Amino acid sequence: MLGKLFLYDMKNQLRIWRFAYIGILGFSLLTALIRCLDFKKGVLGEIWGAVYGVSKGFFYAAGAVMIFATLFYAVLYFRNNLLKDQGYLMHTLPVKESELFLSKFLSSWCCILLSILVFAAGIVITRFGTGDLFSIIYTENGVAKRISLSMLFFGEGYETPRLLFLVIFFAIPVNLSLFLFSLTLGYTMKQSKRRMNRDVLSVLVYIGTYAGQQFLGVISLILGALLYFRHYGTKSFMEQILSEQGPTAQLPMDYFITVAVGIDGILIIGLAVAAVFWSIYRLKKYLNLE
Amino acid sequence: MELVKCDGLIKNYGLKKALSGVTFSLPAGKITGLLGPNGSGKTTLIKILGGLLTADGGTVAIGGNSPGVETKKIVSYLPERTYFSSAVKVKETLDFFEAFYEDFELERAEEMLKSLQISDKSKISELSKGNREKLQLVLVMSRRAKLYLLDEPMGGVDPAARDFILRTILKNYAEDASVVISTHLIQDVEKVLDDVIFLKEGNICLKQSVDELREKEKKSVDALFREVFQC
Repeated sequence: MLGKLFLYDMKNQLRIWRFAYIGILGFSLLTALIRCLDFKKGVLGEIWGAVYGVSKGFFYAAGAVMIFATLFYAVLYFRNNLLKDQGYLMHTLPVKESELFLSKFLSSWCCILLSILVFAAGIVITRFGTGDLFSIIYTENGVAKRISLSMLFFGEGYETPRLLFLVIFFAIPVNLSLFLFSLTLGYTMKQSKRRMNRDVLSVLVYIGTYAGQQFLGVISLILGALLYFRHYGTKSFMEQILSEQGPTAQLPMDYFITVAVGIDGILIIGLAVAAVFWSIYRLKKYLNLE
Repeated sequence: MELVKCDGLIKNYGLKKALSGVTFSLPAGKITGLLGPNGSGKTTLIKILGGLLTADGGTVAIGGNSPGVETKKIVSYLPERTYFSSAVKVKETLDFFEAFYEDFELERAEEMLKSLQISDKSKISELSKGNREKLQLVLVMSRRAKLYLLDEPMGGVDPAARDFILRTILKNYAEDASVVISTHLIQDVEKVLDDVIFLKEGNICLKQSVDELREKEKKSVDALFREVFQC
C-alpha cells in the first residue's frame, strides 16, 4: 500500500511542479541562447551582456524560489491532505498511519530532490557554449565555494558534491520531518480550555522544535569543548606545562569544530527520527479531524 | 449478530461535551437513522466509528475490532463535506477507489455516473456542488462494505436529488450490510429506516425499531422527533 500511496502523492505534487520544471528548463535554454549569441564588442555587445546578466540572475533566482516553494508546498500538501478536508478520504483508507505519513514524507523529499535536479540541469544548460558544462556542479570552484556555510564548517576547497550530499540526506529530511511533526502535533494536540487555531499552534510547535535544535547545538558545543579540552588539567598536560618545552599534544581547532558539528548532526538526526515516530504515534492515537 | 458495539463513549471538544457515555449496538442488515438536532453529537459519533476521531473514553468495536485498518476495510464512510482535491478528474477518483478498496466495484460506479450524466473526464472543479456530493455517494455505495456510515447525505441538496440519494442507498447496499444515516431531514428518510437512534446533547434518548415506535407511539418518526426536540 505504501507504494500506491507514494505514487498517488507524487502525482498530486508533481501536478503543479511539472509546469515549473518546464519553465525553468525553458528559461535556462533561453539564457544559454543569449550567451551563445553574445555580440563581442560595441554598445550592442554591452547591452547584450546586460541582457544575459539579467537573464542569468533571473534564472538563478527562479531556481532558488522553486526549490524553497517545493518545500513549502510539501508542507502545505501534508496539511491539506492529512489534516484538513482531504484527510476524510485519506484516514478512512485501509492503510496504516505510518504508511500515510511516510508516503507524504518520501514523496515530498523526492519532489524537492527533483526540483534540485531540474535546477542543476538548468545550470548545465545555461553553460552551453562555454566548454565548461559541469564544473560549477562538482568542482571546488563551483557553487559550494560561494556558499559561506560550507567554508565555515569545512574550509576552502570543500567540494559541491559533499555539500549536496549534506543538503539532500541531512538538511532536507531533517527539516521536512520537523515541519511535518509540528503540523501533526499542532493538529492533534488536545485543547482543554481555550481553543487556539491549529495552524497557529503548529507554528508555535515549530518554534519549540527550532529552539530544541538550538539547544542541541549548545550541548554539542559543550561536548565538543569537553572533548577538545580533555587534555587540559590532566597529569600529562601539567607535566608538559612544567617542563620547559610546553604542551605538545594539542589538537588542532578543526578537531573541535568537527567534533561539535558531528555531535550536533547526530543529535539532530535523532531528533528528526523521534519526530517521525512521534508524528505517526499522534496520528494513530490522537487523530482529531474536527 | 452485532456489527457495531459502543460502550460508554465520551468525547469532549475543549469544555464542550459532544458525547457523554453513549452506549448502543447495531445488528447487521439494518438501516439505522441517527437523528438529532444540530450539535447533538451525530457527526462526532460517526467520525469515531469511521476512525477519524479518537474517543476520550469508552470502547468501540466494529466487526469485533477497534477502529483501525481492519475496520476501515469493511466500513464505507461518506462525510458531510467534499474530500477530493478540485484539481483531480472524476476518472482519477474511480481509479483511486479501485486501487485502495478491494471491495470497490468499478463497473457499478461507472454505470451510476453514466445515469447521472457525469463524465469521467470532468474535473472535480467543473462539477456543481450537488454533483460532487453525488459522485462521493456513488463511490461510497459502489463498495461492497459491511457498514455504510452516511453523514448528512442529503444536506444541502434539492428534493429531486434527495430521492436519487435514497434510491442509490437502497439499491446498492448488500442485504447483510448495515447502514447508518445521520440526518435531521427525517421526513425524507423515514420510509427507509428500520431503526432509529435519537441523540440529544451527546446522549441517546431513544433507540427503537421504527415499526415498534409507530405502533407504540401511534405517530411518525418525524412527528415524534418534533415532539422530543421542540425548542
